[in-house]
Amino acid sequence: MIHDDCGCDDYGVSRRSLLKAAGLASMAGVATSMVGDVLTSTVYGAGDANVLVVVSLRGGADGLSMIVPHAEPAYYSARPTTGIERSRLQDADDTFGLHPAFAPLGSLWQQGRLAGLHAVGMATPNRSHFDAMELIEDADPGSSARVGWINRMIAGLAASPDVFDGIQIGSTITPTALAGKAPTLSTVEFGDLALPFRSDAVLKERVRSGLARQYSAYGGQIGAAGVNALALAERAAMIDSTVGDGPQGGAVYPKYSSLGSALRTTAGLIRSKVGVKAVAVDAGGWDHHVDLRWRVDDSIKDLAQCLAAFFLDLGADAGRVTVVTMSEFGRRLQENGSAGVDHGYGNAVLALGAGVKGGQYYSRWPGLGIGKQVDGDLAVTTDYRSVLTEILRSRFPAVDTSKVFPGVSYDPLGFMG
Amino acid sequence: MSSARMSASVAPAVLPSSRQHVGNRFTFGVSEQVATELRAASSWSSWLEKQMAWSRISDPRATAVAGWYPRLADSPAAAWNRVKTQQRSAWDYGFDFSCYTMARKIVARRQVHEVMTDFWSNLLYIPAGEDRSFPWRFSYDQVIRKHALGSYRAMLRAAVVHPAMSGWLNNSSNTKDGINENLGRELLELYTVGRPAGYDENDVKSSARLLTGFRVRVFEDFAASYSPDDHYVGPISVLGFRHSNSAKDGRAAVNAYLDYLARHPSTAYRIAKRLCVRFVSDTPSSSIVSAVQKAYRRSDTDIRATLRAMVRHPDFQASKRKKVRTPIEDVVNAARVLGMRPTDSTRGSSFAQHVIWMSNSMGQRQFEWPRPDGFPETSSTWTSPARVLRTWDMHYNLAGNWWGSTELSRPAVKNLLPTRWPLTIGQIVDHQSRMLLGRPATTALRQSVANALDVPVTFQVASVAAVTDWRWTVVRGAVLNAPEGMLR
Repeated sequence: MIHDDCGCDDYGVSRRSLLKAAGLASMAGVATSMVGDVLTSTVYGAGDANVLVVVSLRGGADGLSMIVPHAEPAYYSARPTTGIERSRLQDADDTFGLHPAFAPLGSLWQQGRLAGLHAVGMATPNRSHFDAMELIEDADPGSSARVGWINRMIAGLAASPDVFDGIQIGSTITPTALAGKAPTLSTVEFGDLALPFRSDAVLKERVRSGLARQYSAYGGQIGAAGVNALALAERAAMIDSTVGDGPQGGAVYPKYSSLGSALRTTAGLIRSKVGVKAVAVDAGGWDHHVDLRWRVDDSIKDLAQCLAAFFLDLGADAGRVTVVTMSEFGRRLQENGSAGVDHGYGNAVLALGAGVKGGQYYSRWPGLGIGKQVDGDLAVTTDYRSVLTEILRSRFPAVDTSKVFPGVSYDPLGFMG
Repeated sequence: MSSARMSASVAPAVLPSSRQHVGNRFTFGVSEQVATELRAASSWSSWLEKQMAWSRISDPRATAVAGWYPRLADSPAAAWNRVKTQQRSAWDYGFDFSCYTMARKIVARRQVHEVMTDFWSNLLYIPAGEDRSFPWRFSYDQVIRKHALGSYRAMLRAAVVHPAMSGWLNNSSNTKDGINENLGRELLELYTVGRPAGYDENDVKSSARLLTGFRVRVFEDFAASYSPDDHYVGPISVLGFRHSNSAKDGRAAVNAYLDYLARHPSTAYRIAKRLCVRFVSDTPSSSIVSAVQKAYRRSDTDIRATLRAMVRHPDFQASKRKKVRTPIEDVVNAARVLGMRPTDSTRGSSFAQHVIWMSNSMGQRQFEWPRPDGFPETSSTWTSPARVLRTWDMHYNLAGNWWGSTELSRPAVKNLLPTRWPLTIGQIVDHQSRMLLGRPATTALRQSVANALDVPVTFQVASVAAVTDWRWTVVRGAVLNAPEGMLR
């Protein structure tokens, strides 16, 4: 298991400063420390700090199917073939109810650990996938710095962020939310951050020592990256072995689900206590232009099963993990000619886990009647950045949220305790 | 050829470092062929001149690549029809186009032209397989290729109003009745003067107004046309550019505007800086940037004249092996120096398709950057420890063809090794270091390979038959994994 070499769990920041002063903590962000004469990797940082997991529902999720505004006649008249009947809804109140495919999350709702938010989105509509994803993840309109909000968040939490602070799981391509100056990591799994010949311990060690000699002698940018790569491989191997322990607590992720395998890896990462602060995970396939009824049922079922398994898998660590869903836009109220829905605007958000006052819905509901819509879409009454600010202020009080989301007007819904 | 091949010698002569440097920066990999060309040239600048006159170099292998992807020749209407009827997806078109691009980088003889096409494609960036631009993406690529070593002014004129650009940055829905600022803004911010030029929101609006009229029937049949009825008529003012814009057809005014922007000193600076970051260093000196900027302006945006000023500045030769290859550059370089050549692309196991996933697994996929600003040109972006780890692993995969790629041509091992035997392991490592990296092996590299093979450096290999697949893969993977192997 992961342990701290000097047994000083709460010593991370000052040791990091020490290393910086010694010129050993490189720009690449993997810590190294001198133990005797040997340059070794160590795991540092607050290993059991709070974690935010952002699940991006790629394609533009239909919030009106996820959290159904069943009291709105306009919803049923606009969706003659795709509306979800009131009687099928789960955990309904007077205004909203969850899609029945959310059943696997029923107990989290009962325990007050899952909240539904509605009419959330960007300040102005953008119905282009690329543009909207870019704008949502950059979250700094008017700036040309092209730094993502998660990058600003981790930069705000540590003077010299560690490469494990902000991680994308599920893809090796850095998403916009993570892009920026602070070092981040994008990976499908931790098993692929291994040295060559990983399955042959003797050969691997021979190759490792050859690389160590060459890269430490070479110096410069590539030399430092090589030395740090050797350290990263050791840390990643430890995480991978925690992931390899398999899901805990009897958690079962759906088979053939890319979200499931990403969350399974995320749970292992969090359980291994390397000090991760923010994880970005993608759940694709929400672009339901056709056959909304069964397609959204499948998408929600996958999301619900994965999240339920994730919280079970986290075990005791669930107490420090908050999950929020994001999507680039909601969808058109009126179903189209293919029994699907086109790109829209206002959307639903799920917030789960640590700090969430769940078991209820939160919304400044604008209504769906004539004159309430924006170009045929649900209006936005809560800026998504305000939702994220609310989570950060509750779970990461050390962050100056005005630097993460410059210029946002903060208008809390009250869903965080 | 086989008797004249460089690799026949036990210790092949490496190129003078100035020539090797030009090859490293202006090709996607100094293959034996490039090394031979560079050696035969009277100087590295004469090699560069010959390459810059690219249309005079015959390049049948690169030309043949388009034939592997027949759907790229679909008209925009035909491509859209196939997508609409679910025979293919936009993603499929994008994947074909990305494979096509990677394969050309590997096989082309016109390497400087390929490199410059890549540079401009990353500046005037449009992703592959994007919904609103994919039917026109291949046509856009031909525009970039045509102007890649011509003038930036001409390239800008052709690229900005191209239907692919209109779709990608929403100019197709930019009309006098509903202004969409997307292209008007990125034109200023990314393609020309840049933010420091100090334009304001009124300039952006003016820029967008002037660009009205270029229609693409996106999601209908993708037909492109100019529609004077949609064009905003009235005075335009952007930075120092003024135009009455009184004609219904605004295209002459657009050309005047684009010429103004292309020639603007801030554009000259932006282009010069970006060229220097790609070809010299992450932090080029103001001296070289200003020399390149001057050449760009003096030559009225001529790209060859601009490049000449850059390579003649002393900073260029002083920057040897200071840039880290991007994952795409790394895979292409490895394929080229290892002599691995894609020959077709009919199935998922084809090398031409594998290279996409190889660079993807290192963190970069051709034309998959999601934003209009293109992949970062800075080496620091691509020098994370995770990337280095994945590259180390990938080099062995490539050297041993452990992915089992098909439709792949590889020379016989005996044609890549000296004719005189026996050789020590140390000699073989040195030989491959000279062939793959253009420099002799360090002691540490020779020792490291010998250790991996669990033999002394002086271990004798009797003949080419004793160079087993295993030994050959360990040697070549380790050579590519030397620090120098990651740099260009």
